[in-house]
Amino acid sequence: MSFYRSWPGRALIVGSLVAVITSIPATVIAADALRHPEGTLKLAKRQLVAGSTVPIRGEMFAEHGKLALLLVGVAGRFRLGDVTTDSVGGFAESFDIPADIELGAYRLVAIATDGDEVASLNVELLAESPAPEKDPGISEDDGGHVEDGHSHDAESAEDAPTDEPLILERAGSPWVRGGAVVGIIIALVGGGLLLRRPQGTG
Amino acid sequence: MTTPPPTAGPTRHGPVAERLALHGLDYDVPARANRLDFMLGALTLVSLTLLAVTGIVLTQYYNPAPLAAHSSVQYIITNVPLVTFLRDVHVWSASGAMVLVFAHLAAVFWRRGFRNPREGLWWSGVLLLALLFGLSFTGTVLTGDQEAVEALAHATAGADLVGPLGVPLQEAFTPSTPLLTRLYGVHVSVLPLALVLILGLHLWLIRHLGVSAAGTERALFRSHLRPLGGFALLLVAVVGIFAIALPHGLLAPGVGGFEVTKPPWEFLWIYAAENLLGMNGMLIAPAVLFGFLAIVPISDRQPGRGATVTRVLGVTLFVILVVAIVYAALAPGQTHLGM
Ligand code: HEM
Repeated sequence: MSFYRSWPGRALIVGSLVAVITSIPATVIAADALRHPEGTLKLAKRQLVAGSTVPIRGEMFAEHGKLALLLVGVAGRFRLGDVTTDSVGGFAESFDIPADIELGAYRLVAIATDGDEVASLNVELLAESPAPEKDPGISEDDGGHVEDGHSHDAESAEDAPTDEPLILERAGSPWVRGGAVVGIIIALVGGGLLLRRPQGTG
Repeated sequence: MTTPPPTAGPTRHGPVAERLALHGLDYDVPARANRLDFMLGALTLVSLTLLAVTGIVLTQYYNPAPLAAHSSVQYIITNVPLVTFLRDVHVWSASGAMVLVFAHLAAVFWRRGFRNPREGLWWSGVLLLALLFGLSFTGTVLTGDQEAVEALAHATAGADLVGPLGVPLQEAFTPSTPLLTRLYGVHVSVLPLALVLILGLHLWLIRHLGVSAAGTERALFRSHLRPLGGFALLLVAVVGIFAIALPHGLLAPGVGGFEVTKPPWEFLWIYAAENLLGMNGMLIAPAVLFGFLAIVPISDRQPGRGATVTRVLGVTLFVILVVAIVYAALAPGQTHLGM
């Protein structure tokens, strides 16, 4: 008797199919019910200087919601402060980066009141430089508050992402191109020859 | 009556061939398997080999730290001619592998190569397809450009949808290693390892169950290697031509919270489903495709209604897949996250 026809075989197949078919909509519906708006955090620079004040902007969060901003890394979780979003789910505020925390890689994280992480950015915490460099600020076109030291290049890149490829000067070498062309010709000729030779003669 | 395999007298093997036990290639296979539609699987393997070789070179130049990834790719493009070319070969081989694996799947489906005793062979193939999609996705996010950041945002949103199963795909999973770095690990170790294991099973089953070619005429497997080598070289040439003629670009460093790009072509059918169904489309469309592929050997076991329905459904799904890809490529960009 084939495995499919035996009752354990059938039970297994039908059971797994039912499990798969029902679990997909069930998880989708359950997760949908739990979902809340996720937003975006914005920094002018991903390198933060310990002990400096950094303007942070947020967009597309729940309106009039409370968010906690933290730096999260292997050294621990450091609360920078709380913000309340405006009527369109945005905020723009400055926060002090502690001077005494371990340098290195962190994530800047926004946590909603239910404890869910709703946005994050990878950042790097650098040492205070001897002659403190001013953090480039965030320009707010919509009348929000404006921090000192604008960096318009960084801003326009952050605010207007595009699907246009960067215009880069590609590295080229006659050796690489020539080698590739020769390789292609050899492959074409070799392939053609192998396909032309009567089969079974080798 | 079975035709005996052609023997041109006793086969002579040189000392090297003897030591490599190449006489092991002298087993007989159906003569019909000497056609292109029976070589699509092996040609997929050729693309995978190109991917592995070029990928190893790329690992020497790529930096998987989130703040360094984009600039390392930009460095490759602007400063290292050989590696730029190999990166383009890598990207085009990935597309080639996808086209070939779908052609292979379609050919096997059409000749009902999944029927008894090859169900396991088919299911191992379905797993291979899933792994290829996984490799393609994790490869896309590595560049850290706008397309990559959007792909990653989709993945974390999708991971949210599947609850606890999706936790490893969240940034918060561990504070010590960023998600991008973990996905890099998945791209260069976990998925290739799984691919090699499942591929081993696939090839083992092919060797021992044989392919489902019609006809009784037999030929030596060795004779199969010559045309296969020919097609393989042509494939390498075509990939090389694409790499030179249409080098792969890089977008600006990615900014979260925006959707201005479309995914690579092999994911456009999922993008189309998201256009129609919102974020849930990214789970429903793959579930339909892979769910269908999983039941094929059960629903089409012998001639009859089940077989007809399976074939009609399969062809319909394939047409929908192609139409969805074309539609998504032409449709204006749309926002899905948060829908
Ligand atoms: C990494 C991807 C894959 C590789 C490298 C691969 C490789 C191969 C090779 C070399 C063969 C021998 C004959 C031929 O090419 O037709 C084969 C046969 C087969 N493959 Fe795959 N395959 C892959 C993916 C798939 C997928 C996605 C499926 C189906 C879902 C599949 C199902 C089968 C079946 C059922 C056979 C036996 C065909 C027959 O007997 O007619 N394979 N595969």
